[in-house]
Amino acid sequence: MSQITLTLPDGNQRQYEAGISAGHVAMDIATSLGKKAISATVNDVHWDLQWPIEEDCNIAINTMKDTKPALELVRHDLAHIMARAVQMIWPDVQVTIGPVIKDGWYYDFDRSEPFTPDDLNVIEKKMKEIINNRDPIKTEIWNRVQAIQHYQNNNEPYKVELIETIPDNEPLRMYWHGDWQDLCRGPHLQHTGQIPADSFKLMSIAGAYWRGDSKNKMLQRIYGIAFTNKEDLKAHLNLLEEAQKRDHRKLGKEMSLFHMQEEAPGMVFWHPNGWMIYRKLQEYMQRKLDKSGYLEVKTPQVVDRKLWEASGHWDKYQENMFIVEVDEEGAREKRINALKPMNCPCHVQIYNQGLKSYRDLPLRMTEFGACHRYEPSGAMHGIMRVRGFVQDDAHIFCTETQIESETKSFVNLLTEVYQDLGFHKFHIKFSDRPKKRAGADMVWDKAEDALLKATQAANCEYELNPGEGAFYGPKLEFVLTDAIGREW
Amino acid sequence: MILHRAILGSFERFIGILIEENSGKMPLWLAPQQVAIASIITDANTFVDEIGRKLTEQNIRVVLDKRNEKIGYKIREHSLAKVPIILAIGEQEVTNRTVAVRRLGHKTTETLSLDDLISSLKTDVKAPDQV
Repeated sequence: MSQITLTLPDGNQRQYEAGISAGHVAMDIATSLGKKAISATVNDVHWDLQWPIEEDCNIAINTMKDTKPALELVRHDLAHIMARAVQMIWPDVQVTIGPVIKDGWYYDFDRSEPFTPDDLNVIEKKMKEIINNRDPIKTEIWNRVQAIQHYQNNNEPYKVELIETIPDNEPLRMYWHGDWQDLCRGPHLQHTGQIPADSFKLMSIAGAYWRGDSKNKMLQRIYGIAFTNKEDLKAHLNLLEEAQKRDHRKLGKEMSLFHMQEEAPGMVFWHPNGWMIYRKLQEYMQRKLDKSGYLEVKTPQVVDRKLWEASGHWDKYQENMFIVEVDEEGAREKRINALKPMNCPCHVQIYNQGLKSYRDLPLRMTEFGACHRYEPSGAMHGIMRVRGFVQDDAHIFCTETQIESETKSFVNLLTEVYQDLGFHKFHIKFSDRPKKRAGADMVWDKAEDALLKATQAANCEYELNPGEGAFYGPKLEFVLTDAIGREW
Repeated sequence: MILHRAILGSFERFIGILIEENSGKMPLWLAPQQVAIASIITDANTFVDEIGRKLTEQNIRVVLDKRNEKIGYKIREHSLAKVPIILAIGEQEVTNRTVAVRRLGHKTTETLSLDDLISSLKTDVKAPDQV
């Protein structure tokens, strides 16, 4: 066996035989650490204590005090424990998938009877029993043929389907929570007793299609939330209650501001009250923009695909576009148009018509541009995430040397507007090139460099948000904090 | 070079955020209806109309409530609709040409002369960039 060197966060190095588990390393550092360890971080990878370490690496042992890994594990283990509890209570239920999401987890089940809110209490009680049992959590690698056989014998067709999607060269990792087993990449805790039994809650039941595809069977999804201590759970439940009280969908109805209906999903019917707010806000924005040297324009809604092909939208954004086919008089083929999902290409058309010389720059072109984007129904939320909306959009055509001053004056304008509207706290994220993008890397290098320098020159504090830029360029995102601490 | 920027993002989303931030109680300049004028007795209706006319002349958005309902009921309804200012007009107000002003979220009322109300509202309803 070869020797490997592990480097601890404090710089200390330790030698072990290759293949030692992270758990053994923790035990070797101190028995007390080994007992309270929940996972390790090995070269930035979240590592199960049972997994072997084969090469020299940096290693940190995580405990419940390490909030990020702790939350991930607690929520992930609760997903498994909930599925186990459900199958203990209703052995006929088939299990599918159960990922960690913001603030908690969900698990999708196939069961002929619908779950009821009372069922949630029963499941929660059973989960607490499992936690109190302190069942060991074990992991194994299984042979593919045996794994499929196992799930077929146990009447778990969804698991068979999942295995078939895993590439042949990837090992099939299994996890046992006590005597209950599930296909899972891990990592997980050492035993179920590491989960604080008073810091989670099952929240709701919803329908969800298998693999998110409406052609597939409708499953039942149970949502839960979990934290590392009961104070955090309580604080979060208070926040939810507060958020519910001020939910814009509820207030929109009470104040008769707007409504939405099935015939136009994701599109707003503004009532007189809501439209007054809209108008006053738009008039305010128009005054601000007029004073800041912007020129307002209006461009078409329906535009031939040729323009979208040229702009890259047809290639990179087509799945989000509403396509409109028109039988034009005398034409042999239908004309294919799209509702504009963004205003940019249309503004460029105006720019191309009128530019005389560089002396005309900067040109600040603004539009209250009605855009349409196809969003899956699950992504929509009241009037906050919709399919038809109006952007307060602008393009500033400028020379490279003007980027800095334009960025500065934009940040000033934005700060004024946010303050006028009652938001005093916001932070900036710098988002660079995404995987799916248009344009050569060299152009991206230049654009990112220019925007970053301008941001720094404008004395803006920012955090990096890698890979989250638009497909056509890097961006600065301004994130608001609202009255109850939520970020928008 | 092109800089692409938005401040609100979309009006729909931003108005959603504004509604939740304010729990529906929009700042006066954005409120759909700024003043509700409610009569306590039928005899006050003419004065209610007059107040309505005078406020509208100042571009103040009003809703008149001359229904034959109890004043408590009217106040509750306009409070639920989050109208920032509710005026209750009864016999005393008609005689003295005053208004009983109740601000959203406050339990107390304040009595003002109609002229004082108008002159203070003229400034209060202005958008923040016009103050």
